[in-house]
Amino acid sequence: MSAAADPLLERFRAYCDQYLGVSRALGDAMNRTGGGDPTQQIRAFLEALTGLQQQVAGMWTATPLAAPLAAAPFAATASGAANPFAGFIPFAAAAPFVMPWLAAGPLSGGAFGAAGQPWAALLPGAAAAGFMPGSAPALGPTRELQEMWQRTAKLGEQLQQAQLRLLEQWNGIVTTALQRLGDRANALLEATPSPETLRSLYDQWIEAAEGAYAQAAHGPAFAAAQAELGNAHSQLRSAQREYLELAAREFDLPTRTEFNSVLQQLRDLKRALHELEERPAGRGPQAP
Amino acid sequence: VNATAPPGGADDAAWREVLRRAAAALEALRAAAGAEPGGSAREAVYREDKLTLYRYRALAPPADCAPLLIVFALVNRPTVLDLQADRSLIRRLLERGIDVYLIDWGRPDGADRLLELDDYINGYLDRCVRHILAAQALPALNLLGVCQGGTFSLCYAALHPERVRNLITMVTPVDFQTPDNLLSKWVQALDVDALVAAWGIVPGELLNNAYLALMPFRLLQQKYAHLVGDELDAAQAANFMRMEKWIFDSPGQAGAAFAQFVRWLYQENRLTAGTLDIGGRRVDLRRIRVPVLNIYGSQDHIVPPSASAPLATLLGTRDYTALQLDVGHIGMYVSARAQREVPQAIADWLRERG
Repeated sequence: MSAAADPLLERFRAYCDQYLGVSRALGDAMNRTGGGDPTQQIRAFLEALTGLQQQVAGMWTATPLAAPLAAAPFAATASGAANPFAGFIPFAAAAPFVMPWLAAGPLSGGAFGAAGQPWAALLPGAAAAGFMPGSAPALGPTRELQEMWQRTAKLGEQLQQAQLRLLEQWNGIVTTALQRLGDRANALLEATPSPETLRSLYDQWIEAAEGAYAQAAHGPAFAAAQAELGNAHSQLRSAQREYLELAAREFDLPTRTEFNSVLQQLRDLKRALHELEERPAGRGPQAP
Repeated sequence: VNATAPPGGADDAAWREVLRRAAAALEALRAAAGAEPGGSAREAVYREDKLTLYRYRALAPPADCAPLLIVFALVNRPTVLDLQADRSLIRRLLERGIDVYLIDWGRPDGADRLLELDDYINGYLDRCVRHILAAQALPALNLLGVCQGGTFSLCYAALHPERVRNLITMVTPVDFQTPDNLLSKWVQALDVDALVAAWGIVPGELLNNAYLALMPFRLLQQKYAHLVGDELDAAQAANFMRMEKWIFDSPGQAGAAFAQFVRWLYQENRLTAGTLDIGGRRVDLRRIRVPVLNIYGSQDHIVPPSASAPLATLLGTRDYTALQLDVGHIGMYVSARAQREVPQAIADWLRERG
């Protein structure tokens, strides 16, 4: 197929031109000081970009090539001539925002670092204008990776917040426990020190601490803080595993998701086997 | 922290004595490091995946009752039931002529993450029961469920009443949402699906930490500090080490079954509500019409008596006996009082019912 004559390629080229044009406009807006409202300009950019993404999504889904294109839009293969996307590759390679994909796998520093973002060069200016780089909209070929990174970063923040809330609970518990110990321990502190009085003092501390702890631990705020911490930790672990699975796939190693799929198949087979074993002798398999 | 400095107000002599006792206790524990739980003679009679079904060797002429299958919890090892010769519920039962079987669930690994409650109750447990019944040519056996294993046994007895002759539950949660159940309060807002998705096999250490967090100052500090003043002899040190090894020997939990147990029982309290389905079948406790002995501890901080006692009102049997002891959860397994009273009560109760 001739790349130049392919209408799909022409539309793709138009998309890239518009994309890069809007990116440049955004960069201009970000780098401009003292003029205009950066917030409004960012919003306008995002709206324009959303429209473009919708156009491109429509373009890709309107063709039978949609599925493989979405799966590997820029993948160069050894059999490049037979690849239906071969015509895209030269153009795609020329687009700076896809270089990380072509230069290395998705776990390369480029893809995960700022250079993997199509508008990496704009971020310093955006930050200077008050934009939070960590919340940059996910765009381009590294969009999913960026979303993964942003989600993980957000979960890390949530975990920290949850830790702080539980720590607040513990601060209250220890404060109450020490107050109660002070009320009870005067007599012991005035007695002649001995191993027994030291032990009694220690036991008073435990009594005071457990009492204060039980009072708090049975309350809704403590339970909520515990659950929040546990939930945040679980979500962060799962997000971290997504990274690891990405790495595993890059090296063609099995992932937990694949193992689980195999385990489910084994489990189904084992159940069917037990059902067959428990069926009375002479009774054949039932129709599904 | 300068461990050799006296705390405020204590004179040097008193503090030196504390340190001397601490050194002696540590030396006794070091010498007891090899003490291991377990000891009664037994043989494996059935194996499947990680599970092993044991039959214990008789220590007395057989009592006139059906064999007793003990179903322990998934969350700890059953070794606590046969910790050592003088702290062994199993040995005390054997001495009274009871034919004892025990399910050891083993240690789930990643391959077991999809196991559900249905697999444990209608699968593994049922196949163990049927193995024993076939081996002894009996229609039904006696079931003793401990803690979570008691909940499993209740479900089993309700789903397969024809195979259970008598049912004993020990420190078994039934109503999972009573006001003094701290574990229950903590898990109400827990996203158990996210937890299981993150871990697959829920680590035993995580559960152990949750249990320790119920009374953290006593269980993580005072328990060890008291060793300083106890002048441990070798036997006491060995006892302590065996318990210590058992407490922290916690298998991981198959994720799917764990999620079902937490959601259906702790969060939705389905067993009490009569809405629990296992393997597509409703667990109706009113179907349990065989005699039931329910044993629980008044000091239990893991399964409060308020969680066990409601069983009385949920069963279909007219032969229900409750036995409450002034012990805690662990004390029910190993305390001197429980060792004296529980095996005898079980043996007497079974002999009366066969």
